[in-house]
Amino acid sequence: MKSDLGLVTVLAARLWAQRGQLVNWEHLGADVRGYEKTVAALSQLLELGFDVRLSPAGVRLVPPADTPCEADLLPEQAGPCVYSPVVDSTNTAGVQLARVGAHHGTTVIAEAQLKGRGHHGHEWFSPAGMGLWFSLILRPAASVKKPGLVPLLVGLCVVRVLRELGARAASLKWANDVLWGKRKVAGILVERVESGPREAFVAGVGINIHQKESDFPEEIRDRCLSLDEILGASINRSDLLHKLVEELISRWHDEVSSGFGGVVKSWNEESGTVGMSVRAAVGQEILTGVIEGVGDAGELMLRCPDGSLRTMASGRIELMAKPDHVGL
Amino acid sequence: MDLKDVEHLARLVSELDIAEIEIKQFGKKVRIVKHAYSPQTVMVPHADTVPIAPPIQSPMAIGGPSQPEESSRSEAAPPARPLEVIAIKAPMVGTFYRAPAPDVPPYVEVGQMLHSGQTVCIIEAMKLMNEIHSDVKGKIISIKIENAEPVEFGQVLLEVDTSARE
Repeated sequence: MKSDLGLVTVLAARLWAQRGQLVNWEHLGADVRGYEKTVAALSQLLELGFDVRLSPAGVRLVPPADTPCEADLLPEQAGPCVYSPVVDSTNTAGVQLARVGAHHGTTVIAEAQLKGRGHHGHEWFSPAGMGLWFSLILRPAASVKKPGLVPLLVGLCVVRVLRELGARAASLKWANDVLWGKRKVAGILVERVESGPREAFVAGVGINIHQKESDFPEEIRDRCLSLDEILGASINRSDLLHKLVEELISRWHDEVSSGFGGVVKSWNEESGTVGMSVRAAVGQEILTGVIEGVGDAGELMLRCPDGSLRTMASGRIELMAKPDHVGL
Repeated sequence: MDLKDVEHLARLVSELDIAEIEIKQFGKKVRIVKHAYSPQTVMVPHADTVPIAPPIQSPMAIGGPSQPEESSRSEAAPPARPLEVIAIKAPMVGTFYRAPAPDVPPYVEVGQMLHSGQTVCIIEAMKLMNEIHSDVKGKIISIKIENAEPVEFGQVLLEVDTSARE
């Protein structure tokens, strides 16, 4: 039986509110809705990675030990925290909140995403308890002249925090994929919305944390990696969330007043991918070149084999080889 | 050729992908040119064209020997409504997307009424998804770019007939 995603979300919220405790079937509405339908939705929660235990007496959801669900885990500078055990996508929720005027610093966190979004057309695999999936609403006081620098800033913040944790060789692939070698550790999706006279940026961050290689879907297994695997230790998701939100908000304040002027220099110094050969796809065109860095609006500058310099504002790149001076 | 014919032609040029049309009839010539980035369909008077100045906005301005008799127009059918076409252009270089995600419906479709401030598409640049809003209201008469195609600064994304009413 196919379960309905709305019901999955509702049941998750109800079980989460009484997490760790037994919730009887009637309280879950199973007697009214039908047991078959309820069990189908609960099965989907299991598939999403939740520890859901069913018994004749009721259902118990055991929360992951390091769940980042408590608002007081966030640093002081953060705004309100919106936590849901299951959402479609934290960025979709963040965009909706930003549209109705959510404050700067509002943080949307989910234990699992039904439709975690990467860049267009790419789903982000985001099971319960395995990673950190959140979106942060950032509001500039005045319109940002070079909004393309915002995603780069978010990427820099994430890579910095991961390096501080010990993942020294983490790098940033333009525009803002966080890699270990050629494998993706974290993804970032920034959306810009206009709500009334003010604009808002919704910065979505997804970080693979506790997955073992076998936890990733087979088709992406060789392209993903978790932080635990890199560091050989179990990273606490709540602590990491705190550090990331702190870094993002403080760096945002530093940069927003100067029009994000420091982002270009930082990216060129810290990305770890300048000088690398890449293959790039811009629309239908495929080209190769060596990364020279990013330009003052955040565009990628590629030195092509014929010596010409190409700039890319959009498109995808694939790393070809790692030169010697950027050691892993 | 009367005013109705001219309006009909203007409409054809506007609605179809025609840049220019020239009709010679009974010693008169009418040429209608659509400028790529011009918000309106305009008529360019020719040396031997009936003086038209500019007929889309002021249909009564047609003069000269071919001026149609007012009585020749059917009272029941009001004159065709002139189109006022405004182009919504790309404010940045990037990749054009019609929907917020691949599995959801597009923001807008051809034929749909648009209100001012409505999101019409996304342009992705530097992996930032920028919502693009309409600053006009009217009816969408064309969407010029295919989903996921690159766009240049100033390129026309959509055309909106601002004279349309629901």
